[in-house]
Amino acid sequence: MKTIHGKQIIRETLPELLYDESRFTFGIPDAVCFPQTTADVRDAVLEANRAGLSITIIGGKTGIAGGSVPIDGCMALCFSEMGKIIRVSQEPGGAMILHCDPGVTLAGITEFLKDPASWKYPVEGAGLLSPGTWLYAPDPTETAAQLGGTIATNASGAHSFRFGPTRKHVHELVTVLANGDTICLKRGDCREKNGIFAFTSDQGTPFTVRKPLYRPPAVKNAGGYFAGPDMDLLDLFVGSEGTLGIFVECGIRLLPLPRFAAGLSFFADRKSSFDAAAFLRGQARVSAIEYFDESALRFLEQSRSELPFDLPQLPPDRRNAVYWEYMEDEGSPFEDRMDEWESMLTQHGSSFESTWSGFEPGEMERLKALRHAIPETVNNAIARYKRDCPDIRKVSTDTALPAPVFEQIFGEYIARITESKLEHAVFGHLGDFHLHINLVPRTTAELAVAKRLYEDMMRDTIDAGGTVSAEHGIGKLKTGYLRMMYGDAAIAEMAAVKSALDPLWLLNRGTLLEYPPETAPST
Amino acid sequence: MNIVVCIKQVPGTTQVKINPDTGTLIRAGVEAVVNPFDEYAIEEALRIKERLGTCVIKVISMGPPQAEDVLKSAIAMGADEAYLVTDRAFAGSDTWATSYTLANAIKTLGKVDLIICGKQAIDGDTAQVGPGVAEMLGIPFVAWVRKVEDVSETQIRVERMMEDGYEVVDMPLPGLMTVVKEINVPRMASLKGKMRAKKTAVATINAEALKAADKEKIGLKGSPTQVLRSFVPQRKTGGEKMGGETGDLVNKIKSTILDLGVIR
Ligand SMILES: Cc1cc2nc3c(=O)[nH]c(=O)nc-3n(C[C@H](O)[C@H](O)[C@H](O)COP(=O)(O)OP(=O)(O)OC[C@H]3O[C@@H](n4cnc5c(N)ncnc54)[C@H](O)[C@@H]3O)c2cc1C
Ligand SMILES: Cc1cc2nc3c(=O)[nH]c(=O)nc-3n(C[C@H](O)[C@H](O)[C@H](O)COP(=O)(O)OP(=O)(O)OC[C@H]3O[C@@H](n4cnc5c(N)ncnc54)[C@H](O)[C@@H]3O)c2cc1C
Repeated sequence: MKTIHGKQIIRETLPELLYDESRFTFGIPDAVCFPQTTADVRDAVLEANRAGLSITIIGGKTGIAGGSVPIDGCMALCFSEMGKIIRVSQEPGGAMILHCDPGVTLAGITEFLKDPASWKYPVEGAGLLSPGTWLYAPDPTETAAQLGGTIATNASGAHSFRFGPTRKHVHELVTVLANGDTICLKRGDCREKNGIFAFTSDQGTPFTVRKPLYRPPAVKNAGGYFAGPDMDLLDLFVGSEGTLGIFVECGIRLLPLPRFAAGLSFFADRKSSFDAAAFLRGQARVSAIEYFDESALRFLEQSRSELPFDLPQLPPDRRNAVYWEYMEDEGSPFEDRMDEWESMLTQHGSSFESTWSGFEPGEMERLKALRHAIPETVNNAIARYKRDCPDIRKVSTDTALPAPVFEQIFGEYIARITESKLEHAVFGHLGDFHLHINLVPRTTAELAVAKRLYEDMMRDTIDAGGTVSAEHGIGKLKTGYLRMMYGDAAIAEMAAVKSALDPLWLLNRGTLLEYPPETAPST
Repeated sequence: MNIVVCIKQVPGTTQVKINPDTGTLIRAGVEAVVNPFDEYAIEEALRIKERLGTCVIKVISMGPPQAEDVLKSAIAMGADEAYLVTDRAFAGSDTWATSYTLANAIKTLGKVDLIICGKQAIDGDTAQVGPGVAEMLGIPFVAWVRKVEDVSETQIRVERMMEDGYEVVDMPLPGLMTVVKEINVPRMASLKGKMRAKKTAVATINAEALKAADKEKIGLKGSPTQVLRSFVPQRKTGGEKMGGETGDLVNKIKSTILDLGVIR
């Protein structure tokens, strides 16, 4: 296994491994390993145990919460060389499962599904999949993310409105535990019994884990270990941000690919966009509802020259946009709904005339490129401002709010931001009441204002029963907010889960839970 | 004013595959799209229409029956009428025969003031058809137009891109221009446009309909070009890969260029 030892050489030759998309760094590892097989991962973990090193797991580094950012003196496990598609299998019930290395990117999976049988290398069972007819539903916008990373963060995307986040689509995980043992779990293999998960690793070590009893906020949520009624152990591993185990083989469930038709409808203001979204939420065939407010569209226009595509002229009088997707099939073409939709859009001040079509594959690609470009242009702006003021950074929310209070609380956020005069961009997953507010400070004084606003927004979100992280995870940057949201007792329960699986707290120390834990780990 | 836009269907760029044995494009199963340059042509026609108020935009394409789809895309963007020039007799046309056939098809459309073509098709790549059509029709043309400065029923003032700048050209109408991508950003089709496209019938023009055309000059028979062989060029190998700090790299590149005697 390729392994690089020594801080000096790591700093010089692998500087890109020292941060993720949050741009924070925390230290320099003593060693970086590039495993290619499960055996490699086990060797590395056993070595870390011997040497008493903590382990940071590095996926695609597209995270924005610092989860994969190494801490000083750790061993970093980097999955960039373990990225093969392994095989396709079919479950007795007919479900199609794609088995992958953790380092496969989402873009790689999408590419593979276009024509599985003629993939770069032969994949066992690829013949089970007809070209271009299967879908891996989770679709975070950043497709350079690795499958392992997206499972670790329970990532979600536009389709999560209809299909749910990653968790539901994980069928099987082979995991290397903190002691170097492996465990292969299929959904259904290990369910809770009287609030306890009991299992034995492949090497014969018994484990018992107490299921957490806290109730996660009743919104789309990616913060903290999952807890719910009648749980499967798999659900605990998904979203654990690399703190409970290292995924070395991931079996994900594919769905028959529906025919998606998409549109980008422009509205005069936020209110009418939200009203239209309320209609869209009620439509059984709508699979995505995304929103871009005035500020996000302005960012896009101002960054025209740096976009990887030509941006058509946006309607000058309608400065809010809602992106929607509709799943067509033989029996229910979109055409059947045309009249109803047209009158709905018109009623809310939009129209078919001011809706860009994403009905052809090429058109849909352009709408998606536009959607993906918005966060990138915000990041580029930050990078530009950093040249004058190296200390500044983007301050962005990942909150989801309960439906009944969403409009009111979100409206209050926006009023405060507008008053602060900070540059900002607001966009996100309106279907799930989950919008990202990106604050873009230019000076340290503005950064201080942004941080204060952020604090206020977090407190209001928590008070309203929302989550501080709906999709990006807690990482190393939001552990304090996780405690604020759940309270000490729940954090102690999480710490107990962690200690049961990783008594020495070797894996991803400082991620999801503070380290050293305030509550002493019970061994 | 009547504007005709010539559009060609081409394979979606991301999916082009070459048959390694014959060196020809594999067209089967590949999604066809409007030649990207022709989208700029459609957009410019729409802008001229917006400028002048009254205007009819007719899109025309020569190709197999499936080319109807790209004509519909043009209608969805806002074009008014669509014509498909299609007939087995047209098969095997080279750029000369294509230009001849298109020119004769355009003659059947009544009074035409302005014809707009893309600079080139991204598959054939010859950039000959626009000028060819103009020659066959005996009208003036300006190629590589990057901006329309002014337009009236009888004249158009355009900027033509040159290697070392641009020229401002006045062209009397009727005339033809081919456009480059710098000219505009094509709009997205609206849902309204899509609905209109669904309802709009595409008129077909077959060999029979080309009354003025000499039947000997169309299709394979009318094509003076002979393809003797086509092949995939050998991929260049070797070369030297340089890495390192930017400063050092610049020096390395500079001395390499000097050593090669490319500059002095
Ligand atoms: C422009 C942009 C857009 C984004 N859009 C979205 C979006 O729409 N939805 C969304 O959910 N997120 C989004 N993100 C955030 C990010 O893409 C996701 O969090 C993603 O899941 C991270 O995957 P990664 O492979 O890059 O993981 P990393 O950032 O490398 O790591 C994330 C976490 O997973 C752990 N991990 C990685 N691999 C493994 C493994 N094999 N086993 C165990 N743990 C592992 C890491 O230790 C870390 O804690 C976006 C980011 C950017 C920059
Ligand atoms: C011997 C020979 C046989 C051929 N046989 C066939 C054949 O059987 N089937 C086949 O499809 N091709 C055939 N071709 C290719 C065909 O001749 C060219 O693709 C065609 O002439 C257009 O040339 P181009 O692609 O270089 O377009 P360019 O000259 O680069 O295109 C410039 C512009 O002209 C307009 N234009 C070009 N073609 C069309 C069109 N068809 N309809 C409307 N507007 C157009 C567009 O505005 C375009 O942007 C043959 C070529 C040769 C040499």
